[in-house]
Parts: sequence; structure tokens; C-alpha cells
Amino acid sequence: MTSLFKPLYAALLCVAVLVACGKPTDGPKVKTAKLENGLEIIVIPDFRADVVTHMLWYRVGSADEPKGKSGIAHFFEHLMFRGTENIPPGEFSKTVARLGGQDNAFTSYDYTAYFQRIAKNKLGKMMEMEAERMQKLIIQDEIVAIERDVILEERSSRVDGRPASLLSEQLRHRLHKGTAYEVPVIGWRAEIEKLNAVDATNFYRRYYAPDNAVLVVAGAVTLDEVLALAQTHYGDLQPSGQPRARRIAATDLTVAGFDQAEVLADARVRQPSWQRLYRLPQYSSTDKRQFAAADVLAEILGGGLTGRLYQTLVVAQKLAVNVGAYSDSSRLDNGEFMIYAVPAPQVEFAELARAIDDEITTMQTAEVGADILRRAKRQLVSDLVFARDSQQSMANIFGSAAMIGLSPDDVLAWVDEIDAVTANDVRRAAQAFLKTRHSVTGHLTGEMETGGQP
Amino acid sequence: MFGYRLLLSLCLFVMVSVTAYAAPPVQSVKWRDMEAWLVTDNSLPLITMKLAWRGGTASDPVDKTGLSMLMARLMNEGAGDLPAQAFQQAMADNAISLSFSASRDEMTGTLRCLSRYRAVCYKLLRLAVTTPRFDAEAVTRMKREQATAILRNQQNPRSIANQALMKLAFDAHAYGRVGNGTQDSLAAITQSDLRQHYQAMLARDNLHLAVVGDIGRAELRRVMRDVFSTLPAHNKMPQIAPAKIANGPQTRHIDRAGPQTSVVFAQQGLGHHHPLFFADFVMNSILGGSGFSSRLTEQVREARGLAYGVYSFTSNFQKAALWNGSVASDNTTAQEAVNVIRAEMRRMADEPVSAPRLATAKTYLTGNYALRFDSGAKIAGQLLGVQLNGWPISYFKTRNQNINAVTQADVQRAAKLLSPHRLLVVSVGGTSITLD
Repeated sequence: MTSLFKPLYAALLCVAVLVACGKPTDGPKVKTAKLENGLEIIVIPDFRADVVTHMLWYRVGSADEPKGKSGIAHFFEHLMFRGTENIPPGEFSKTVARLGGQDNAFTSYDYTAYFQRIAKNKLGKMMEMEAERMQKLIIQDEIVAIERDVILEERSSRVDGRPASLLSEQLRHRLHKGTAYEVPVIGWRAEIEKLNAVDATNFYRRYYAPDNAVLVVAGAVTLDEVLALAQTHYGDLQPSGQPRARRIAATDLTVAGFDQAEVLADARVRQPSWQRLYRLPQYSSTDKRQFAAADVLAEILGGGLTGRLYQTLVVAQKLAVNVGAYSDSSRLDNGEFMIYAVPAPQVEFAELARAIDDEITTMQTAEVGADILRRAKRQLVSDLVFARDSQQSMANIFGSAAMIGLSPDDVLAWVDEIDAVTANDVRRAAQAFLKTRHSVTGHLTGEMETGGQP
Repeated sequence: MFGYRLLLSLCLFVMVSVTAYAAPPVQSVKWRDMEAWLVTDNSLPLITMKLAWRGGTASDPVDKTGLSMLMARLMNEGAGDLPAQAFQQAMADNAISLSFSASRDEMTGTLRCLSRYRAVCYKLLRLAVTTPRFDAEAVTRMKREQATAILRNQQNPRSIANQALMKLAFDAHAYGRVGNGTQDSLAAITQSDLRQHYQAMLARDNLHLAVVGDIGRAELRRVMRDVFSTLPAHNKMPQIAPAKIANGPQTRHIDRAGPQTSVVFAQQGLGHHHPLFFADFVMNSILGGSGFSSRLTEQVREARGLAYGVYSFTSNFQKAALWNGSVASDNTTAQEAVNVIRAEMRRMADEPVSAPRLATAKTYLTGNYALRFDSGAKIAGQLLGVQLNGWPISYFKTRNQNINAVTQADVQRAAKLLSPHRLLVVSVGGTSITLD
């Protein structure tokens, strides 16, 4: 292992796909490139502090897991910290810490990402270690057994001990039934308990290769610096030539049992809550406008205290104490549009749902006023400027977009797409996306309740 | 399509973050009797301000607990001639974010705006700070919101445990109360209580200001003049009595269904002005404060698989200091996890830390410091935090020197103040913890 900086010239070594895709005004100047072995590179320069965020994103998530092996993607993420040929178990993070950095990793449906935040002059060392564990991980039975216990504890903390999380898990299971997203990212308990070193090894060999990964570096570096270091540390890794298999998203968005609420009554619940998830069509680049309209719709409905839902349900009708909405279409398969509400004391879920449905009907039949549309768009677009304050946020935004096939240009174009949304687009998005039969509704309550209207 | 508000809610982290060098140049800016700490950075068109007033939930009247929290919730719910909705709309129309929160010893406000909207941004800040309305409609609505927050905290095992631990540690002292109050105390709060509390708290002599971003000294002085100069010179908040922490060993158990027991523990801590403060800081980093690198993670998680997260940390208040920690483990292994934690506390006190281990802890802590200053929002938080801890502006430069000066003997001295036999422990779940 060497961490010596080799001054190599980018253009000679790389498939030079340098894209200068900065927006002329507020946008960040994001640069991209690709190594010969397929490793894609995204660099987001930010010279305010002498630190960098180094991330390696793999195009594999829980939705790519083999049947019956739920949780392996996340489990495997944990094992990436537990020893390689040259780094003993537990030493990865300790080395990062000793160099004054922090590290962690996360898993979602469509991706797994590993990152370190550290002084710029340690970037080469981070790449050296990250490259080492891409192909030289050691998977030992004994460590697998301990880490499985850690993950079961994690599941207990995040899900099993929290009624609200249990309900969300069940709702998503129903919403995405028949597709890969029906399985929770952390996995089903009974399946996690059976995961073993063979499962982990198979998973590793299948997915962990440079041509299935994207390197994102945000912070006090230029593309040339990153390219030279990346060539040194990642350049010799062998590509697998096996991109992940295409999954099948649902095209018929109807959800079985949409008219029956999922009720979770649990004595541990003190504060009842209501939520509804709508299944969105798979994101397609040919219909960007509709998805941008969905973002504006969510902002108009559920954006903070000026949102329609808050103004109507909380301020005017006093049926709810809190309410909100968001749209998440940035997924490989079906996205979600979510509305949630905390009912006011003594208010029945059915009454709350009726009032929310009325607001949705209004959005589907009438166009919103110009001032409301302008406010929502401004809020969404200014979020990008605020996001630029954090190099870690920027790395997350461009990295997660790359995982679903969106380039930095696509991400930056989002601002113009939002800007182009009309009141009619918003109304059409409400018609297309907020169909009750595409949804599931959940009731979280402390009392016994027998089924009910969603 | 693309949420710049990144939805990481569905992501699972290996571990919830660890604690977080080279701070940017911090200037002191004065206007009459007020002082602000400023970091100017024009690279992004953003301004972030943090403001805090001494006097938080611990100063709430005993029969009106929740008052400071409620006041904080209402500070952006209408001011001047703008009722709540109009105020919120003005913020949204100009992409301004202004919110307040209260902790035991202070109320903190955070303002974030794009520099192109600075004029309206400062105007809204001035209105909120000088002429909050506390309209009946907003008071009722925010009381309801706070009432649900009280309930939510009663369904999360960690917050149930923490509330019980603070009660156990501080008994009748105000630090032992729940910041949101109780349903009864909250119901008892009136508009007049809120106005009186506001008038007593928001003054110039207890104001702390931290400002970062696209703003220079002259502009900041104007903001100080325009926004804050009409506040009273002196606050009228009651003094908080020094808090005595209960003697251990003591345990409390709250039965709750589920596979896991959540355990929190505490003992007397050293505080910000103790001579061993930095030694204790380094000691705690080695023991349980440095995430993946800590001994607790090594022994409880990596070697035995007893928990996903295990931590120790210090909680410093104006009138008290605690050393505390937490772990959540299966009902069948929670006792073992606590035993391992206590054994590590004893080892920390009994065996001097090796020179290489100490050196590693120092490079981690000093190197990591820069990561606390890589965004405007974080820098503002650091500037305010140092002020509230009562440290001088030179702290940003001396902090790493102080860490590097800590010796092996210092670490052991700090470790000998740990008392594994005298812990205060609260468990929530299926297993009550015993201290043998």
C-alpha cells in the first residue's frame, strides 16, 4: 500500500469526460470524470475549509438482495469495517480517527455509501483504505456472528422498540407489494438471524467493483487533484463487468387493500398519528416536468406552516396539531408521496382523513394562485443554495442522484424544471399522483381499534 | 424530482455520528454594551446568525414549567403588525428561516437567509425579537403542539429514560424537570405569563450573538443597533441555584414491552472551568466519546455484539455538570452490557493509558476540530457554544494546545473521578439493572 502522491496528468490517464456543469449564478461547479476501469468520479469543489468529504457509492442496495436474504446489503456494509488483508478488524475507523477524521456508511434501497470527512492532505490515505476494502475484505465466521448480533440490536432500537417504525415498515410493505421495495432496508428479523459468511461473500463478489461504484469528493480539492489520487489508488482495481440486474418497478400502481387502513394499536403509543403513502410511477427522464410538479405540489400542500394542509387542518379547522407532506421520486423504482398528520385531541382518524381528502380534491380541481406557486418554488430553489453551505450535503445530493442514473447536470437542471412548473402542472400532478387506490393509510394508536376508514 | 432536502430518513447508518480543527478567524464586534462574534465569508450568498439569551427552562416557575419552550415556539408566530400567518408568509416569500428553541439555561434563535434578502431578513428578526405578539390563536395552537411533544417523549424509550435520569440526578432542582412541562403546567400558562417571561428574559446583558457568512463588521454593527438596541439593558431572570447531584449507587427501572432495554447512567461531572477539564475531555474520548474508536464500542459492540450504540459524554449546565452515558441492549444482555461498561470505567481508573493510545486520542480530537467549521451553520454553532461555555474568544486557538498538553497522569487523575460503584442508572425495557 502506498499513499504517495503521483503527479499524473489526468487527460492521459482517464476517459476524459470533463463536464463543467455549473449554473451561471448560484449553482456549484461540479466536475465529473471516469477511470478506465469504470469508476465514475464527481468532484464538488468548496475551498472554505481545508477539509474534504470522500465518499464511495456502490450501485447496490437492499432492493438488489436475493430473495430470503433481506438485510444482507446493510449487514454487508457493517462487515466492511471489520477487517481486510492489511487492515485488522476495527482498525479502519481507528485509523481515520487517528488522522483526525470521521467515517461512517449508510445503506438504502438503491445504494450503499461509505464516507470519511477529513483534512484534505489525508485524502490519498482515505482512497488507499477504501480501495483496499473494495477487493481485499476478509469475511470471518466469528466476526459475522458478532456483527449479526449488533445488527439485531440495531433493528431493535430502530424498529422493534418503536411502534411508529413498525407501522411504517408495514405500510411500505403493503405499498410496494410485489416489488423489491416491499422489504425493509434493515431486513426482516427472521432473515437477518440466518445471514452468514457465505451470503456476505457472494454479495461482495457480485457487487463490489470499480465499475459498480461512483467516487464523490466534496471540499478543498480540484478535479485534477482528485483524478491523480484516484488513478493511484483506485486505478488498478479490476472491474467486474456485471452491472446490477434491472429490477421491475410496478406499472399498475393500485395497492391491494387501499381502502382498509393499516392499524397499529400498541400500549406504548402515547400520541396517535396518521399517515398516507402514495405509490408514484417510476421516475423517467422523459417526464421530468411531472415529477418537478410533484415537488411543488408537496411544498404547496405540506411545506411548513404556510402549507395548505397546515393552514386548513391546524389553523382553521383545528383537526390536527401538525401536518406535512413530501415527495420522494428520486428512486430507481417507484417513489412515494407522503402525507402525515397528528390529530388534535378527540379527533377521529376518519374525520382527519376526510379533511385531508378535501384538500387533495381541491388541488386536483382548482389551480393554485400565482403567489402560492411562486412561494413554493422559491422555497424549493433556495434550498439548493442553503444546501451548498454543507459539503457533506452536496456530496450526498450528487452521489445519491448518480445511484439512480442522474448526472450532476440533471441535478442542476432541476432548478429550471421547478421554475417551469405551472399551476396547471401542479393540478395535473395532484390528479395523477394522489389517487386513493395508489395509497396505503396508517393509524398509529394506543387504543384498540378494529380496522377503519383510511 | 430532486429533493435537495435529501431524504436520508430511510438510510441506515453504521452508527449514529461521533463527536466532531483549525477554526477560521473569529472577530469580536461591539456596538455599545453588546458584543457579537463574527466570521465573514463571502463565498456563498448566505448569512447565518445564532442568538441566545441566558435563562431557559430551568428558570420556568415551578407551576408553569414549559413556559420557556412555549415562548420559544411562539417567537416566530407573529410580531409587530404581522400576525402569525402573515409573519410565516413573509419568511416563506423571502426564503428566510428563523426559529427558536429553549434548553435548560438559555433560549436560542437561529436565523438563516440569502444575502439578497438581507433587508427583509433583519426586519423580521427585529420584529420577532422586539415585538412578539403572543396572540391567543397562536398560543393555543403552540400549546397543542407542545402537548404532543410531551406525549411523544413518553413513547420513546431513550427520552423516557433520560427524563427519569434527570429527575433522579437533580431531584427537586429545576434541572430535574421536563423542559416541555406537564400537561397541567402547560395548560396553566397564560398570555400574560408569556409577556412577563419575554420582558424578563430578552435583554442586552444576557444576549450572546454569533454571526457567519456574507456580512462584514459595519453591517453587523448596524444589525446590532437596529435589532437589539431597544431591548432593556438588564434582564430580570431569577438566578438558578447551584445543583447538587444525587449520590449513587441508585437504580430506577421502568417496565416497557419490547426486545430491548434502554439504559442511561450518570454521575457528577467536572464542568467547563475545572482544572482537569481537558484531561477529562481526552479521558472520556478514549473511554466512550469517540464513537468507533472508543473502548466502550470496542468492548460492548465489536468484541461482544451486545449493542449497536454505546456512548459516554459530558453534559455541562450553568450550575451543574454531569458525566453520562447510554446503551441499549437485548433484555437478555443489558445487564452484561452495563457490567462491561463499569469494568471499562474501572480499567480507565486503574491502568494508566499508554503513550500511543493517548497520542491517538489527541490526533483524533485536534484533527477533528476542523470538521466543526466546514459550514456556516456549524461555525455559528461553535461561536455561540464557546460564548455560552464562558470561554474567551482565544479558545479557538488555544483549544488544541490545551488538548496536546494533557499527560498520561492527567488522564488517570480524571479517570479516578469516575465512580462505577456510585452510578445513577435508569433502565427502560424488560430488564432492571443491578449494581453489585
